[in-house]
Order: sequence, then C-alpha cells, then structure tokens
Amino acid sequence: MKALTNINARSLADAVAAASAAAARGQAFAFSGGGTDLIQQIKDGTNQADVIINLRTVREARAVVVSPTETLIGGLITLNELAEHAALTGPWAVLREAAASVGTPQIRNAATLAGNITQRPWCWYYRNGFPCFKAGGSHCFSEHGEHQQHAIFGGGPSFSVHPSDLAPALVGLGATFEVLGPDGPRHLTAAELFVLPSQNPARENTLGVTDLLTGVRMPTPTAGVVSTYLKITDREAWTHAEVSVAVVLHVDGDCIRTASVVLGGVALIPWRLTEVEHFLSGTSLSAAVAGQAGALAIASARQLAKNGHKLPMTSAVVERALMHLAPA
Amino acid sequence: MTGMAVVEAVKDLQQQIAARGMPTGNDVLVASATPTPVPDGTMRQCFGAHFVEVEVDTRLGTTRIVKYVAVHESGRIINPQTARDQIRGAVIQGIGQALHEDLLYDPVSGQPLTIGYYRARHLTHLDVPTIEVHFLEVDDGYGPFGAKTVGESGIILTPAAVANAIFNATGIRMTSLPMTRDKLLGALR
Repeated sequence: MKALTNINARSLADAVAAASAAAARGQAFAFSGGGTDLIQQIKDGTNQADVIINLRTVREARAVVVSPTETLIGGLITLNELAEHAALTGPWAVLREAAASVGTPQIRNAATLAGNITQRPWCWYYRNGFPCFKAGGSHCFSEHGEHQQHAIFGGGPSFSVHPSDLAPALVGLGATFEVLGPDGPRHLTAAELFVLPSQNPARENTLGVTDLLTGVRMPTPTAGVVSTYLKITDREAWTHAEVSVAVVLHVDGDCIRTASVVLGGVALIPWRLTEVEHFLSGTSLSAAVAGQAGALAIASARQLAKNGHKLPMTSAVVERALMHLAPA
Repeated sequence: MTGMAVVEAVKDLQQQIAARGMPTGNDVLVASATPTPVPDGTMRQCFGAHFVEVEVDTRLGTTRIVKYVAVHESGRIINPQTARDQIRGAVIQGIGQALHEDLLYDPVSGQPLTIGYYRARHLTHLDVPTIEVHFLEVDDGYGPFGAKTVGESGIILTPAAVANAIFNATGIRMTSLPMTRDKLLGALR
C-alpha cells in the first residue's frame, strides 16, 4: 500500500480548511468518517487519495437534538449510536431500522451517518477498477454486461444504484442536508443534494470535493406518524439492499393523511414514489390498498435484460412495508 | 483420508528394517504408499443422505433453510467432534454454492466481477441454519480401526438436497447453481 498522510481534524471548520489547503497544493484527499469503506477503496485503487482528513478526532456533529418542531442529527454520529438512540423511538422506526440494517456490528460501530449517505456505489464494475462513469470515464459497462443488481428507475447513462440505507429513510422523513464548505455552511434539500446520472453520471450528489456533510435536519414527527424500513438482501448480513423501502405515514385513525414512500437499491438516488404517495393519501390502509400501492410502485420502472426480478420484488416490498404499518 | 496409506507405509518400513536393520547416524528410511482402494475387488465407499427443509418466498425469490440434517456412514468415527464439524463445514460451503456464490464475468473483457471476500457471497454466521449431523458407524473391515473417509463427502450432497427441497416446496426444478432469486423468480413467473 502507498504512503498516506493523515491529518487529524480538530473541528469541522479545521477539516474543511485542511481540505482546501490540500486542494490548493494539488493533492488528492478524502474525508474519513469511520473509514470503513474509504480505506478499502484506497487499497483497491478506486480512490486515489494521498491525504486522509480524519474526522474521528472531531467532537462536533455527533449529537441528536430533538425540539418539538425540528430535529438535528450530527453527520458524525455512528450508525450504531443512531440505531440505539434513546430519543429516536416510536415514529423514528424508519431511521433506527435503516441504521441497524447496515453492514455488520463492526461496521456500524465505526461508520458514520454522513459517510453512509455519501458512500460511492457498489457496482462491481466501478469497484473492480473498470474506467466507468463513476471512475471518471465515459462508459457504463453494466448496461450491456452483468447488471442483476442495477437500476430499474432513473438509469442512464450510468446504471449503478445508490447504496445508502439511511438516505431513503431520511428522504422519507423530509430531511434537509447541512453542508460546510470553504464559503461557510449551507442547507440543501434532498432534490438539491442527490443527482441523477442524466445530470452528472460521475457523481451521486452535488457536494464539491471540499464540502463536508455535517448533519441532517428534519421536522420532528408528530403524534400519528408511523414508519418502517424494509430491506431485502441476498444474505442476512454484510450486504447492500437489492431493494429496500422507507415508508413514513401520517395517519389519522384509520385514514392515511400523507405518505412518504422512498425506495433504496433501485436507482442512483433515493427514489421517491410520488404516484404511490398521492394514491395512499386519503385511503385507509388495507391489504387491497397495499396491493394496489405495490402494483403502482413499478408503473414507471424500466428493466434491463437481467434485472427484471427487481420489479416484482419492489411491488412485494412496498406492499409488505405498508402492511407492517397497518393496524392489527 | 482413512489412514490406509499410513498403515501401508509402516508395513514398508517394517520390511526395510527387517532387511537392512535400523538406520544409524544421519541415515533415514523413506517409505511411501498409495494404497489401492480395491483391496479385494470391491470398492471401499462411504455413504450419506441429506435432508433439507426450506421456505421459499415466491414473491421475493428468497430461499431460507429452516432445518438441515446430514446423516453419514463413514465407518467408525474416531474423533466425533472433528468429524461432525468436517461435515458441518462442508454443508455450510455447500449451501453457499447452492444459493449464493456466483462467479460472474464481464462478457466483453472477460474480467471476473464477483471477486473478493464481499463479492464472493460466502454465508455469514446469520445465514447458517441449524445443521444436525448423525453418523451410522459401520465397520466393513477395510479401513484402519474400521474408519472410512469423511473428507469432502458433506459438500457433494448439499446443492442437490437444497434443489430437491426447492422442488418439493415450489414444483420448480432448478437446473443451474447458484439458485439465486433472479433465476427463481424467472422460473416462478
């Protein structure tokens, strides 16, 4: 392995300053939250960083602050802290369950919320060093190659999928994203943060290289909110979603007032099913309604030659997540 | 490995010592043996039967092994714990072969895609079902102390047993490994 320079950041501002300084020197650098994926990428050569800006030495951005109207979660909180946080019970189930579904206990003890949201895709072409869009190239090898795990929504010209479990949960909860850059802090909506490959096939988000995702902010769920995260994988642990769904319902008795239904593992961004959300609003949840929602979920899906199995899976996952939230 | 090679090699050593006496100084005696598995015109065989209970989620294509029972006749079992774990380890590898582990190549460049520990899709601890191992100890008089092979016998039966259980559950004959959800859902449609 090549020699690396490690910079222990003392604060978020210090980390961004170190990034700007490295950029000015023309050095390749990377922020490291838990480092669970980054170190492997550097070893594999899919990340060229020579300088690691270590965020484990930063004490900020690790708290969960809940007010009656708004909740702020620091980007450097570990996934295990998130999954077991005493303030995130009841309507927060979607976030807790998503955090608990990631990787393995060892990964969750080190990996951070911000790192999970901004991790690179796990497409086997990109991760094996093919010069694809994600590696700065101008070709997607999966489209006419092996794409059993690839996109059924929003694909093209890249067909890899967003690997995060927390991102669909956060989008479902209506989160906005706090970013610190060289010009100070700014806030991005999910629509402003995540980008489709048709907009920029090289990146999954609009963050600049010196931008740090410092936290997420969202309305505190009110009474009547129920939520869940359902993730389907090809084995029980240490894997990414083949298909997952975050469902957040605001219910009034038997009636659904508003619904958020966001898919993971099927597109290069957390994929919001707005048609399903509109369909669910005003209905009362039953097996028939859940089945219709599942069917509607794949109305605009587009399969490649070898990933057609993801369509019936998506229907089933949406239907089952809804039934999980149905009153007994 | 039954130890027959050791028995044969020791006999050879005995003959060498009888002929030339014990070695002295830096001299050594060398003996090796490749015993014939057909000592009297019959094959020395071990036997096994595997039983699998699966649940197949026909909407997600997920196959979950609920219970696994492996019964083996490997002659006299000299070390029960290592013999049992040998079979159990083989079954775990066999389940991976049956349901998960796929070696995909890029059709254009020929480069392998599912490489490395993460992509190889070995079973994790959470994927391993309860595996019962039973031995029927039959001394047919061939191996030393009546022992026969344990070795790889556990892995050979596993994919077939899992495939048969999937057939029993769904009526579908899976004919290629691994029996992943894309193939199962394709066959179920």
